[in-house]
Amino acid sequence: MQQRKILLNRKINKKAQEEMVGFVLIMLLVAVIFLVFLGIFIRKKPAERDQNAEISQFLDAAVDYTSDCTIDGYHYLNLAELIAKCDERARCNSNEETCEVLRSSLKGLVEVSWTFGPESPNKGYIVEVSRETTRVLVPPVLPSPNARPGGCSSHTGAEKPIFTNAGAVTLSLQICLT
Amino acid sequence: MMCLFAKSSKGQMKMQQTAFMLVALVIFFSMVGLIYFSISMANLRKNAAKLAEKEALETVKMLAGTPEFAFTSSSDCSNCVDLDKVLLLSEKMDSNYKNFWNFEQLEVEIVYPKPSSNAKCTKANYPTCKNIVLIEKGEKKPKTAFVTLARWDSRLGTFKYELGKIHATEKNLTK
Repeated sequence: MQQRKILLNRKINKKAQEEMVGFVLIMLLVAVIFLVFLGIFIRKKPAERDQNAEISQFLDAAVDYTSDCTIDGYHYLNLAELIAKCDERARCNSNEETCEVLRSSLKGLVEVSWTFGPESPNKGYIVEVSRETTRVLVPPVLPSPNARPGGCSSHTGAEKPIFTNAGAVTLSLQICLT
Repeated sequence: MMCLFAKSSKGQMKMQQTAFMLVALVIFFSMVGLIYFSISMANLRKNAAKLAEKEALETVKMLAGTPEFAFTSSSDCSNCVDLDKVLLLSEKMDSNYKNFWNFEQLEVEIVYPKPSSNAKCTKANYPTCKNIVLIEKGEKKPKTAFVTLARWDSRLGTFKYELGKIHATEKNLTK
């Protein structure tokens, strides 16, 4: 009788353990499925450069702007032509470097179109003219005095390709929001 | 008899366990679904706002392509606004062009080079002026688009292209 009781107890304990193991396995399975779903839907999209429509329109309009630089004394270069001449390291009639005229024109165009400052929604900006992101034709144009390139935690911007004799050059403007 | 009673209780217990497990799973997956849809809806609203903003900019930019604004004197700039034409147009607004456009406010602003005067453009002060007002300011905040402004520069003896903005507020469609 005693032996029967012992055997019955052992059977009950084993059954209880089996139930617990089964329960834990189900919970593990559910947790794994949940993590997989979470990973798929919450994962950030790969960095797709989002073009800001307003900045894109600005760049489209700005490339036609007539600068004060002329090489032949008759035709005044627009921004797109200045970029091409800057690539060739040409000089204007006034002996100024085309890259310098380009830089000051870009700075003037951006600073008059948007308000920048600690109390403004726009904290700063970076204008870059570069070929295939490796060769920078014009050092980044920054607002004075304390802007840091790449120091934005949140920014918006746009890019425009300019086609020159030597290939495509990218004109990009990024505005720092925070 | 007691044995049968004990067995059917066991069966009921098992069924109850299964039922509770299924309820718990349903609640769990409902919560997962809720989180997923709330994240999707937030992204949808953000995308809708971006598209509405883009549409507004394109509507205003489209004005630059209309015959009344378009620069056709040279092939250098097909999307430019002819500022000389717009100045002449501003003088005809009260007569020939009254109610021509469905806008409450329509204005062309010279942005860069920054004009030396903030005055409204007239034949007397053009081009050293700030803006050409075609339709006077309304109450609503206007939609604004960057455009290239083209005008004849007699000093250079050629067309000059400047940065400008078109500000426009559409009329409400009311009956």
